[in-house]
Amino acid sequence: MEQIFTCTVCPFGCELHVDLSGDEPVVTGHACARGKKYGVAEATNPVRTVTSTVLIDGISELHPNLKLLPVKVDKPIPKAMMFDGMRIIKTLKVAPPVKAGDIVYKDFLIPGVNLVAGRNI
Amino acid sequence: MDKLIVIGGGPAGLAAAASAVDAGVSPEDILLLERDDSLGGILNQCIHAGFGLHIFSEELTGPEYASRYIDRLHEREIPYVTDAMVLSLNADRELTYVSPKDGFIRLKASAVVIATGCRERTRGQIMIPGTRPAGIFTAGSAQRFVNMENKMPGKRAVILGSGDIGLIMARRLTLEGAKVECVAELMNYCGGLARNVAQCLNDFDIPLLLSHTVTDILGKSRVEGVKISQVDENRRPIPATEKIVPCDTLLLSVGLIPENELAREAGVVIDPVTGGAVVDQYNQTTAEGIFACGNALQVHDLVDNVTLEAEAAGAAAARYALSGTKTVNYVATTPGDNVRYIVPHKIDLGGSGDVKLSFRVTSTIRGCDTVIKSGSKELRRIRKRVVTPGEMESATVKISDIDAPVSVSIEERA
Amino acid sequence: MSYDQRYSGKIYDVAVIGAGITGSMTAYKLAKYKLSVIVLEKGSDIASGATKANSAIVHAGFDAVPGTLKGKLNADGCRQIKEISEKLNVHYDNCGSLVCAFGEADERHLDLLYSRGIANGVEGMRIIRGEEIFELEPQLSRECTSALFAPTAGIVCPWGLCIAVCEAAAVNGTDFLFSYEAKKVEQRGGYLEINSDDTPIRARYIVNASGLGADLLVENDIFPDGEEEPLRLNPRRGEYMLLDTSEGGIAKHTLFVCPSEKGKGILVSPTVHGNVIVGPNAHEVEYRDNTTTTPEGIDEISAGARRLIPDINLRASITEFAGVRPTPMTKAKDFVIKASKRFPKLLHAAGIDSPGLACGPAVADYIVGKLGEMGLPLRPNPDFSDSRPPSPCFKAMSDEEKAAAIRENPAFGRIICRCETVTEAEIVDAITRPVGARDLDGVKRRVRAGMGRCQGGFCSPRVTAILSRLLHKDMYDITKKGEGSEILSRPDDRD
Repeated sequence: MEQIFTCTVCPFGCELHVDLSGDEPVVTGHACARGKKYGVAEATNPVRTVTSTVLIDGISELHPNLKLLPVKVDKPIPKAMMFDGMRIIKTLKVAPPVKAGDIVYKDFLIPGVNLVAGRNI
Repeated sequence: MDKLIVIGGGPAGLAAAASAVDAGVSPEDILLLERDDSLGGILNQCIHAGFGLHIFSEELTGPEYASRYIDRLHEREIPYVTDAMVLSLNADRELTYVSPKDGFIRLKASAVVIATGCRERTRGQIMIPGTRPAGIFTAGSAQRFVNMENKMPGKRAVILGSGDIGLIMARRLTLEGAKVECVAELMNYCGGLARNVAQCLNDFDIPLLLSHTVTDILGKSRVEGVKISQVDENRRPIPATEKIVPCDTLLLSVGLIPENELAREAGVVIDPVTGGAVVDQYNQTTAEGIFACGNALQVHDLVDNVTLEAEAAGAAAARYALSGTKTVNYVATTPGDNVRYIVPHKIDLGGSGDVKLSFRVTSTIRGCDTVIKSGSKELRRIRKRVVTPGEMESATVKISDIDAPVSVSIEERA
Repeated sequence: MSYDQRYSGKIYDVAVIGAGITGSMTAYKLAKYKLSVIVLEKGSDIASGATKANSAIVHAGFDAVPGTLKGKLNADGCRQIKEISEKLNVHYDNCGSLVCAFGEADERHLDLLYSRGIANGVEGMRIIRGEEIFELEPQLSRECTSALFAPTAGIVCPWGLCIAVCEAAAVNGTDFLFSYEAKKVEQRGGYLEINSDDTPIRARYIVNASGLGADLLVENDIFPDGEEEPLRLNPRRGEYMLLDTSEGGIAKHTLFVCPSEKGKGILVSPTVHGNVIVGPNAHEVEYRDNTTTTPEGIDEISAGARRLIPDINLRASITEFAGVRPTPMTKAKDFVIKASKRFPKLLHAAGIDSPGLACGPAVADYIVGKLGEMGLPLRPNPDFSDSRPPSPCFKAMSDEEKAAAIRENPAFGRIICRCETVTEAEIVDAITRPVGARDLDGVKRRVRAGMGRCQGGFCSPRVTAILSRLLHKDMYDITKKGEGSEILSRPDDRD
């Protein structure tokens, strides 16, 4: 069975055709090696970089008016887990100061994946 | 010496200021003015990942991308003022600005870089008929409510226009628990990047209705629904296709307009197609010593390109501030077949090295060549698999090869 | 705070229903007397009905048939608006108007208008021909053969005018109650009782200036002179386009075509804020609140505008809107200002359609006179102050004034609306003034934040946040124009 995806590794957006019926996945339509890899991943285990915001608990000295800290997962998580991730994120609060890259939530859904801060507060 | 003034502390202004220092202007002779309460511009509310793939080969979020350039500003100890709004600018590079901290300030600049970004097109400009209730947002203002104010604009949304911010907001609202009914796009192609269609719409089964538009807004106090109709090849609604989509929110992602009120005031000639200033390859406008870059010059798809353009503008502004005017020998650039516009609009043949031409095409064409000519002489022919109006194209040419006006066209391959 | 405690315990001398041009001006004129007055408004703010969406024109007074109320009151109203605007610092411009004739039939009509104008007391009118027309109006269609020039005509900010006089009234003790829809009037011994969902307001006299709803307050109660049937109002919608200030200057005067049965036709006019207004058409609509704009309507007014100014750039439209006017279904098509048949101390002011704005102050004088005849004691108030607190306008300040203002209050240095250069200090002032703004549209009408080319795209989140802070309300409870028009929508899983 052939699956069709729009490649997202670069802005070009190749249309990838991935066939998983054989022993090895067969990808066509890609323009680069990264695209081929992406096609296989999309067909077998699609992952996404979830980003959101977390409430700032207190007042940031750097940005006194800032209410929310942008956060992201430091490694992509399975696409199917995006909403589970959002449910956790909604319960979180962080107290300043926090540096960009600091871990806001360790082992986020998956051991070894962390939710990290996106800017200094 | 008078200060080199950068207007705007978003990605363009940050890169221009750092680049001006790297080109030899001492930091204390630079001043960056930012109207918001912190540096970073619109990137601060663009919390999604996908920035910086070209420059950093990694997927950064907007705030992360901004941080890298804010760090450069701090490393170089470049002075800046936040909450600072420039009120006036004239052709002699005299400007006034206000800020709660500094009060009312009048300055004469050695050079000015306009990096004021762009604003969103509104309902009024695209003339959507109907009532005038609450619940109609430009995608960017909805993004600010969600990502900066922690407030949701609505529970059930229709998005008009497939610009990138609209697509990004479709995903963001969905992840935050709202229902996005559909994205309607007047044109028969998507205005945003293909990757955003994949990750923001397809992932959540949000339909993208090409050749559709909103033909009526319903609801007196708050939006209660919109009418959506298919449009014909002349983009006129087909009445028989009209259907009502109940919703409480309409988001508009129908285009961006470069902010050039200051440039106009300074007498800078504006290109009616781009909405930005007419510039040469150094991004100098028609007003001497006033440079423009980023979305104020032309609306970009990728922030990486904003940064590169701004670095060039910053360096050129620095050279101007340090050594002043030079005689110039301009040739024009003209859009040829299937090309809407080219930036820069003119090339100074007195320069050296390469010139990067940025342009947009008029329609989607598969299997084509970008052909660059100087007069009748073909300078370059670049094979393209596909070009689309939604994605900016660029190509470089050697100045030494140019001896007549330069044209760029897209030729379909037989 | 529940308003019934504050207002319902009292018997007012006069309750004015409606805070449009007629109600606002009536409140202002009544404030000069020793009277307790309350203004009851259905909308969330002053001027939120027909007064909000019209041409913003101060007609000179040559349209109306001499002898009608419109004929009697227009020229006086026009003169008074100029005075009041100067006194209370309202955006007004005495730009003059031209009625443009295209051919002989139109020219005969100009003569008629001229003679009406003379009879109505309009000063300084002239019929001009040839090059003089184009010297006054270089962009005007060359098809124009002659024009009636009326130098006393002007343009005004309609809500600015109403807000100014209401503030002046408030300073002198007038009460204002918003989001109060007067639904019923009953006689109670020595006073009248108005009700809106069991929230009674008591007053000895009532002025019904409720615009589009005037004939519905008391059923079958208004009998215009010479009519057998009670008055019925017909909602007539007019659509408009507002062009960016970049187009300012394309029309220097208010430009009319010759009027027809349906109205004064589609005009092109400068506005006091430097924009250009185009419209209106005139179509009867089923519902009184039908302020929708339509593609056909926009095409119609576009064509009308091009007839006057062929080169007008309609792509510079920053917004389209529609207003509904209360057209009286009578032979005279005149204002109907008459005492109620049922309640002797209720005065109706109904069918105040165009030129209702220009007539406003004179209509109010007429109303006050009528109330006097009905027995309202009109003793001058010796403490009356014909003023309102100054409203700072940063954009209009000189550089030195700007510098001083920011030194005094740093919030003048924070620009919230970029398009119109509106500072945080001005927005705070708009909210904290007497009869201050309570919602986004209220701020927009008072200081123009959100009125410019980006139409609030940039400033509306910031203005919402300021409203939330000053009104001590959650951002989710801030509205565009009163309850039901919340800007945001609180998710079910959040507080």
